[in-house]
Amino acid sequence: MTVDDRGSITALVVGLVMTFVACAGLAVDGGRLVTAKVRASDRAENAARLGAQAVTGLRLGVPEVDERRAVRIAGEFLESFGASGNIEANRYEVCVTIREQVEMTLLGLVGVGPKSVGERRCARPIME
Amino acid sequence: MIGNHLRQRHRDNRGSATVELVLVTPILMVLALFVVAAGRSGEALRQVQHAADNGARAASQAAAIRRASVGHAAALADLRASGRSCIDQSIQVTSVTVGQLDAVKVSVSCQVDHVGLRLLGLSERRVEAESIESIDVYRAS
Repeated sequence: MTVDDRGSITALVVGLVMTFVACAGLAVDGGRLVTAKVRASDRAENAARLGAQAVTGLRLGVPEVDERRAVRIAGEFLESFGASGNIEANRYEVCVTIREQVEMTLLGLVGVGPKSVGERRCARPIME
Repeated sequence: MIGNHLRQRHRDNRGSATVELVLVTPILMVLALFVVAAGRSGEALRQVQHAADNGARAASQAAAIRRASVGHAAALADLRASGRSCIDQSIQVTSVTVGQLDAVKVSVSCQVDHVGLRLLGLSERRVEAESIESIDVYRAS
């Protein structure tokens, strides 16, 4: 090592430490993102299925979604989690879209901002 | 004169990189273990969430009297199938009402497995998740 090389090991160590922090960040925050996506998908699916329970026309054998009731029930379900989402209902199906912001913890240290995850799920009543 | 001086400095610094690396290696190893611990923690969280979702879905499709046992069994089977980051699991199945409709809630918690990471001296950490699934009003039996 010559005079010019002084400090190069320190730079290497700083680089390695930052790499490890970024790897840990990917493991932690990546995991949190996947969990948030799975949770959003499950909630959207459930809210849509709950909304699609509000049907009329069963006696005629043509089940149709009661749009107003469906939106209200799905909304109540989402509220019970403190979640919010966009609920659309028509005669045939109920669709729920949930968007959620996930704050980055370790990746926040290297300048990565919050990420948004979103899921849309639909349910329709069928006669069997 | 200048050449002699540089040669002297050159000789003085020889081996210092090796010494510095030896000093730094334990820190890097601890950091690597920390990455593994972080990964396990995230994985455990994903596992409990998935188990709660699956347990709730299975329970909602069972008859009322078998709901708790079916939900418990489904969540436990899911946890066992999905890896070894979770130990000392706890699963609870309860009936709840959402609006005017019946639903089933499954809460799953477990301790993150720190085996092989004793060096970090991490304290015990539990992760938990819950899932609510509605019970279909109209269904083919």
